[in-house]
Amino acid sequence: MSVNLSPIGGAAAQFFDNNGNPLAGGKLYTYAAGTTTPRAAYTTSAGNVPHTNPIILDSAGRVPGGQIWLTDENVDYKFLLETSTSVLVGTFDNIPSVISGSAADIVYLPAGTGAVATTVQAKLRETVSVKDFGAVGDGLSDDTDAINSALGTDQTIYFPDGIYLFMGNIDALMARDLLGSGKVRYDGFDYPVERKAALNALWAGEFRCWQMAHALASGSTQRVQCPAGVTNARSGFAVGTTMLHVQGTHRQDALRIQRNATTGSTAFHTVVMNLTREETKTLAGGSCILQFHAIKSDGHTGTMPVCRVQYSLEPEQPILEAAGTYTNGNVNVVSESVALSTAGRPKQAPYFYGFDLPADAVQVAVVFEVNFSGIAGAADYIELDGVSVHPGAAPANILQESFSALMLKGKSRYQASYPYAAPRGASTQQGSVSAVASNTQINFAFAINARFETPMATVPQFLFQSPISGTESRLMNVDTGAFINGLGFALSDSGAVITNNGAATAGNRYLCHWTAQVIF
Amino acid sequence: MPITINLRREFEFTGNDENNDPCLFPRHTANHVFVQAFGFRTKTIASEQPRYLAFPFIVKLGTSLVGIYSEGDSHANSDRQIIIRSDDGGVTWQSTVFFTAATGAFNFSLLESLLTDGQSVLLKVWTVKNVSGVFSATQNSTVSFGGLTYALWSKAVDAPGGKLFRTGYASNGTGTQTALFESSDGGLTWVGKSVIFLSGSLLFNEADIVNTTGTNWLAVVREDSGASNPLYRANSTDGGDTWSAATIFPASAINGRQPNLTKMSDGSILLATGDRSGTSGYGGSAGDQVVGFDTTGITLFRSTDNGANWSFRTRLSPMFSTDGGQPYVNETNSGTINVVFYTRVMTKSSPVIASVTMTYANL
Repeated sequence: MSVNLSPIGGAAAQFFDNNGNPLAGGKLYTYAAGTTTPRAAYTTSAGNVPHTNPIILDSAGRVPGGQIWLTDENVDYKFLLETSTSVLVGTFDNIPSVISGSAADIVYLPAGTGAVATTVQAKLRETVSVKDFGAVGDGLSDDTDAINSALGTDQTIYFPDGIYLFMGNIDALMARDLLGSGKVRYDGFDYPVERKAALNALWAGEFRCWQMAHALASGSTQRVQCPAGVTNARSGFAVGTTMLHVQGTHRQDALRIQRNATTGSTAFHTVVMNLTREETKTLAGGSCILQFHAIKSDGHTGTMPVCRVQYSLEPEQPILEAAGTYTNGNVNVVSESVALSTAGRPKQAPYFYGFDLPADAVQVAVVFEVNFSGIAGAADYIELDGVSVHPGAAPANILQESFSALMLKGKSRYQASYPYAAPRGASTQQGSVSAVASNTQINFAFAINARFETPMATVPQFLFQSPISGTESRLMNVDTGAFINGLGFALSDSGAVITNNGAATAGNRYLCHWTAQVIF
Repeated sequence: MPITINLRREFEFTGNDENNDPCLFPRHTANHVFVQAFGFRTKTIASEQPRYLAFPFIVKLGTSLVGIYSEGDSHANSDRQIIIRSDDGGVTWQSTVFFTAATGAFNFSLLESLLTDGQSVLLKVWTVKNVSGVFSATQNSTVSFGGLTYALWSKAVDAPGGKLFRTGYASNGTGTQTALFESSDGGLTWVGKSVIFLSGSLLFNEADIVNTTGTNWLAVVREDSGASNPLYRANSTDGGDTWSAATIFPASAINGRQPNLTKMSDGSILLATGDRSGTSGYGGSAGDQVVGFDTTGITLFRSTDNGANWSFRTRLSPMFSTDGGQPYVNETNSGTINVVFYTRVMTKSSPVIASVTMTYANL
């Protein structure tokens, strides 16, 4: 039984007669208020051993055991005190077993010099708890109304520990100042109400750098255009789909994987964003979160895409397997079928999956396996929007890097002398590199240094082409318009040297474009 | 379309990629064109952090790869030997304890289906023999020869007359020297045959030999007194009875530790070394990982003219310390090799036993 300390004789109390002498052997009766019906009082806070009724005081006028506890059932008592010879000393009626009163009546004085006294009520009302409005927080009960009521205030909203099922406007909720260790369960995902900010370690998932798409000659039916840092599993690169830069559901930049209309190929299109060893260091040895937004079109024919996170402990390696896995030592730590809708999820409710990455992980990659079926209609696609990975255990507000910073990262995968947005082999001399031949010898009549603006992720594949014709491993004699075979030397992650591999004409100028790519 | 290779240079190859685009691609194992061109694969065979795994010794028995490596608390402080075996060219491996130092007990289980009656195999200092289904190990750590006590080191190679050759090294009071040893009983006993490397105060030690043609042999040895981890070579034209003077390889081209020589089915020779001359070993002392060209690592060279000329260095794996190496090359299928070695994958971790599988024709 729950009990409360008695207002009368509660602890260490001593009783006296009307002459001020200890009431040795005195008798203390406990009754229901206003009656002579005995009501039990208890010896300890355990509430399981009642006192005798009456309680016989000791020689010093004290209660045996020193304590009196009353039931917690919010009922009143009557106390009657007599001498050992049953002479009435006093009657005390309507004594509450539960101390009641308003928090507005209780003064609260904060610590510290200059602190101003307030009431407990004012203090407690500084924040609004969703439980003030009846939220349960068991992950099962619908707390939408309670949370909406809390949203109706203009105060900071507190979510005590628990999971609160919510089916309201989560964007509006997350836009408020929220406190507490509680989580909001929204459409299958549990979001902590306190959301931190984080940088996206998976920079390619921003889909803002499309050097490769522009620089590789491609048609709408070829799947060779892609944002920097994105690799496509080889067999999934077969035929029939196109990667497009589109405006996303929540961001300006998104990636669409679309099967070309009338295509019957059902080959998976597997998109891989693979981090180098250096990039993986920021994630290795801790818990991480993958979060993203995605939608599907009305005409999407396949089953739901599978999202994977994989790592490898083997030395740094490119993605070359048909399934987009690491060739060596592939370990999946996330493999989820993602239930997409055409409308997508609210901005503040991204898909997210947690995983742990070993400290000795050399590489980590995020993979989306997009599948199709039947014959493609006019709009058979999915879109990925803001794919990010950050250290932590909960979704975060992803901070946006500057475009120039992202472009530099993109250049660790692809660089070209072509102007941004000019395809490889384009009929242009703009951005080309050139040198004047100093003699006629077959090699090194001239040498053109191709320097990479930032070191590439690993030593790249290097190609150079004559402008106008776009023929590889050739240079154009600007003075005659003829072409000459070329040769590359001294390839490193920082550059290469281009020279002639055919007889040159001294004094003539030779030029070419170059591209360097790391398929990772 | 398969990768084609035209020119083979120190840092890059010229050729055509899968799209038949003429291009340069690097002699670098993280590059996608290189990986495609060489069928390059890696596999960590064993990692038991913080246990120190090192000094693999791998041979080919029939179509299987089998060998042992040391496991202990620190460098050269092993308390047992682990035996590993692969029946699929190095894709998968099985393992068990081969020898426990504290008890002296052997476990031959992984050899039982490989060694036929009367056959023996040399694994480091132990020669394991099957006699009517009874397996036993004979230990030969040292051999006396010419008044010196030699530590036996290399693998055993077939020699004329059903004999075996292997090398060992000894201190001679001035320096250290390397000699050739011969066994006529399948590796149970060894006798000195000739001194291969001896030159004043030079510190010759770990050496390997390979039969190039007929009675011609090539030996390559580690030398510890010089800078840049030099390797020396010597030749014999009389079946190992006498050897030419030691000649140093230009360290910028070929250097390292624990040389391993292997004759390939196409007649070429592969030389693998534990290269400890890059930056990661030194920079790594501060706990940094250095990723790039100039890291210590496991390196491979190929000769198609019996050792007269060698290909450029190909680094198969970084090492992230100066403690690693001992590569063992075996040809698993015609044109494909498996290389087992030990290496640190992070500077402050203990070494692991790792391997590479690749083709070698275009090195």
